[in-house]
Amino acid sequence: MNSPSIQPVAPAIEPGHSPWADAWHRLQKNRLAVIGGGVLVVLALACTFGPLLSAYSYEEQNLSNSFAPPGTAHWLGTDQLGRDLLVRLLYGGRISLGVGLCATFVALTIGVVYGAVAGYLGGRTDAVMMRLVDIIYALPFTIFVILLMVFFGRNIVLLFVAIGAVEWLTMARIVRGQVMTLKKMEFIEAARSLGFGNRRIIFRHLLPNLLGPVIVYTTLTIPAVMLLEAFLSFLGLGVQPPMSSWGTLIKDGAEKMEEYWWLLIFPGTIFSLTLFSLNFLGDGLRDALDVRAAKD
Amino acid sequence: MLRLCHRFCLLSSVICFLLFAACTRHETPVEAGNRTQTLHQNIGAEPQDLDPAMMQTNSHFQVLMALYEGLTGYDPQTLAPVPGVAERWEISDDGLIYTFQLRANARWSNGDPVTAQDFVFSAQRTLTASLGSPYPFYFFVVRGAEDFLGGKLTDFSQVGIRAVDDRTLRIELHQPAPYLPFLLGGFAWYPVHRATVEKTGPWSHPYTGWTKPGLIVTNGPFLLAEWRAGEGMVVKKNPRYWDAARVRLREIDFHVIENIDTEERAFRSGQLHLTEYVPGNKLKGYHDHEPAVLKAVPFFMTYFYGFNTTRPPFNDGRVRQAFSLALDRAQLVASQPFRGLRPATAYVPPDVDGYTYDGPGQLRFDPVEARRLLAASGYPDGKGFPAIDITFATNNRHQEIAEVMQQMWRQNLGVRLNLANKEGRVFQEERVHMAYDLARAGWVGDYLDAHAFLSVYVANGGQNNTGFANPEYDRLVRESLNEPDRAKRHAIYRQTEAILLRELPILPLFHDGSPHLVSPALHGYYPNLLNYHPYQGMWLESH
Amino acid sequence: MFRFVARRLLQIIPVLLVIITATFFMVRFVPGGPFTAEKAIPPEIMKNLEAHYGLDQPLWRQYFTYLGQIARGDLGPSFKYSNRTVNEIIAQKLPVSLELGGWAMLIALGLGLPLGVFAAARHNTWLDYVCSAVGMIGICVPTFVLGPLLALFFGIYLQWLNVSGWYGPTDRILPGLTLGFVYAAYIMRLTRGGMLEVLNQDFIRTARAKGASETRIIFRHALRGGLLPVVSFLGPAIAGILTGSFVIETIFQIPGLGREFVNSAFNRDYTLVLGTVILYAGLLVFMNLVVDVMQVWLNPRLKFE
Repeated sequence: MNSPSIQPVAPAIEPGHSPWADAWHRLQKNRLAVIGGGVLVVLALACTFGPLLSAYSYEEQNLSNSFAPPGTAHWLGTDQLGRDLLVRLLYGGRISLGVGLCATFVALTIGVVYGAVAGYLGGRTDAVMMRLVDIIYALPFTIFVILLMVFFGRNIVLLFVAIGAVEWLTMARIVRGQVMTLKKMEFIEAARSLGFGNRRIIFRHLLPNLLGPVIVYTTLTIPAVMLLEAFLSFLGLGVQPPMSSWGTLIKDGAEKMEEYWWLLIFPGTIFSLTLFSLNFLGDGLRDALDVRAAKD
Repeated sequence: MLRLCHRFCLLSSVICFLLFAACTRHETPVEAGNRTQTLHQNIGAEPQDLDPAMMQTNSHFQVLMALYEGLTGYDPQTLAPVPGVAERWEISDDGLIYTFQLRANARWSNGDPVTAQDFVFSAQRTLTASLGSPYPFYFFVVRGAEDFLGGKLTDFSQVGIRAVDDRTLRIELHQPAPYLPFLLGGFAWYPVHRATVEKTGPWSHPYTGWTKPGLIVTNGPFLLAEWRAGEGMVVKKNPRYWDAARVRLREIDFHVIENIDTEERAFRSGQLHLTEYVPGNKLKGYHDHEPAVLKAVPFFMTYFYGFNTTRPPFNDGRVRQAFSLALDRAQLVASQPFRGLRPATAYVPPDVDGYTYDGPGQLRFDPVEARRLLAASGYPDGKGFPAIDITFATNNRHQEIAEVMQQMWRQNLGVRLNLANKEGRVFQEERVHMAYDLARAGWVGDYLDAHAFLSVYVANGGQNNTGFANPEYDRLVRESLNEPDRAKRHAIYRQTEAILLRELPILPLFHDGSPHLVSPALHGYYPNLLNYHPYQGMWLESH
Repeated sequence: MFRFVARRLLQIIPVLLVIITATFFMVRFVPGGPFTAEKAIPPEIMKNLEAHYGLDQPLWRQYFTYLGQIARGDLGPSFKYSNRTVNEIIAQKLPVSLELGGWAMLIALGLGLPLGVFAAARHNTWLDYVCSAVGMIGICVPTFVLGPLLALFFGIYLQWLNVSGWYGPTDRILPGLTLGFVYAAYIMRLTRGGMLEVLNQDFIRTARAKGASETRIIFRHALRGGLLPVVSFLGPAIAGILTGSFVIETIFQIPGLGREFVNSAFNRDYTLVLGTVILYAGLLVFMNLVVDVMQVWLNPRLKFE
């Protein structure tokens, strides 16, 4: 090879050790990624089982004990209605982690496939597909959400539809940009000359080489989705009160931060902890799956 | 590479340093205002127009109050009607004819005299349907006014408002309205300058743009100097105002900060003399540490929920009573976020013009009776009760109150209801079309009389929205105004309110306050029941 | 190149038409209207107001009337700000948002790009961790937390800057920083990711083996390819940032257009909703065109097709 090129990922053909096993091995050696993954698992477990162990429920009020600072009875303090912040945080984690991961997954799947197809096929197909993305970008989101609720009522599935409908767009644009570059590379030309079908080329040759930007943008999408959920709650689509989510807790805490710091600090900390962990895990995954770096 | 990084860091720190070196402690707008008699007041959302006939919400009354003056004005402390453009008036013995004598020296800002004809013209304009004024009902006490608006009367000279001469205005009512002089001080009755209105289009068309700075002509203590979209309005003292000698403020800057947290920060950093609200979580801090700037006085308002009485489960009066009896209002207002509110024992706020409801059926907390009533209506211990929605427009405070009610009903009645917050106009639409079971509502009286509250629940009243209709109630509301004697009128109010509390189409919770912040430098400002603050007697002076 | 741009510019017309049509009918099907108020307006008055704005006409006729109107460049009167037209509102408020967005973008690029490049160049070293951490803070601290924090510190504690308003040049600092910081974080992460992809490619190794300096490698060879994801992201991001931010404009009381995007929907201000959507759509399609041109410029292998 006499010109610079990207090596194709050879999917599971080398005998002995598969690239996935290699990647898994490399991931395990990345300390930050392991810590990040561990924290995420612990958080998920805590949010799932923690509320069962607590003496309080997310909705139980105690009006005579509102705004209690952190202490032995309420480890993280209480909110304006005297509800235990820890339990509300754990319950909120179920919603936020669920929405964050599921909606991001939906956005990721649609965005990557759509962008890859548009970028690979190019020409008129690409033009039509990308103008469609422009159109969806520009439609007024607030109006769209209110209409959804009018026709379908308050429903958790709608939450995913509404978030999924907007979050895949930028992903699609990024993937398309990468694919347009990649498809001019030698290894794709080679695959094409070997007579491989478009589907095989897109899914087996292009996608694996897109992982870097895709992982980075995914870790950026998750916090955006979690905060978007708070806006949707404002429109009446998100979590149904008195249930909470991290987004609504942080929003609430931001308004009260001067007087009742714990209402912002704890939700903010757990939110940041999650994002940092996801990020380290994402970086680790990226490094682990990077076939080129692995040759060192 | 590392060297580049150093250079970048160095560059950014230099930029940061220069930026912050540029900003040093400066004289705040409030301090400057105290010197120059410039009041900085926040009015929340930007008004959509400064045409008194077209105002959509009460909250912009303050701006209009600076620009215009009606036949009457208000005493800043008691809100009793005081002479405005009219220097005196006489009332006929039957209470149906009012004769106003206008001041000789009342002037428009362009120098024209303010005449009786101006008031006739303005009334006709507001009552002309093609204008689309949202507040024509402030004129409905005038004989023929409602018929003119509805088209049953086409000749305005048949309507009971007439200029006898330039300085004499006669208003004839179709039934006595003891609160008329108060009403006349309100924005709906403010005069507009005919020649100015007609400059930009026919006077019967809305929004022709005559209210822009440079065009608008007004008759109040201040003139519109500037209106910057999204930033606010500046009004300057009107030298032609008849009582200009008493006006000490030179300028008022109306800010339009909608976010209440931003508003509070602006107050604290010395950008505002006067705020519209205080965020609920800041109340305690101000109360404990800076009580002098916090004005938390009663407001002529009742916060309640409306039942949909046209469909189950709330078409059963016993269910409505049960829901009311199961609410511990005292506990609600004892908790920190709602501290200082007055729990409702009736619908009309207490002690308005000497009227406080003291009849039967006062609202109380009685969970045993509540459970008995609910069982009697077929839901023993809440079993079988449908999981209906408690509906409110999205707002933190509404949500907190709804959450408290939800828990009280769960504990005291055994019913589980859902909370449903809706976007503002979706909520309004559902309320008007009765597509709800239990929805938040509130009422602020337009004039200081129980009638302002009781008249809402007449059958087919535009703001009723509960399906409540009771002929006896309607008759009493109508007749109450014919009673010139105050004590006897209050007795009729008592009978009327007793019906409302027996039938209970609504669920009053508490009477709201309107807490706001006032700079200690502002003098001549008095908190009052309706939050009307005439500017004539205000001045700024720091200690 | 010229034909490519011309063709893309022509595509704007059908795209706008679809967006206008969809938006026009969407806003009309949302419950509540521009005159829905807490105190209900009497029906005869409502009828007259609707007639004044032509809302009593059949919907299809209103639609074609509106199309005719915008063909003449007239976006109609606003319902909420009733003595102003939508054209006037945009003319008054867009420059403010453009300025704020401009400062924010400057901060975002000035902070995000270098941090991303440094982090990638020193992958998995302390410098990478520091740069990444700065970037992560921008992602973990939402604008509605960062904005009030900055206002409290610089406006109330230090009393250096105004906490609200848009009067003098110093009033650009806090909102610009708040808005810029979030985008800086995105740009930093994407730059770092993109650079890492490129830095491991063979031609970089070749250049390194030939003894090219690290600075030269990064700026001559790697930056072009590494910036690709950032550039794709920037198209919609710039369109969004220049048309204003609801949260920032609310927190700092800035008379920009961003608030109108959200408020016009809440107010059912039909004409203003459409006006802002058309503006945003036009800018978005244009920015994406610029991005596509830049992508070709960044990667000579691509051709305009």
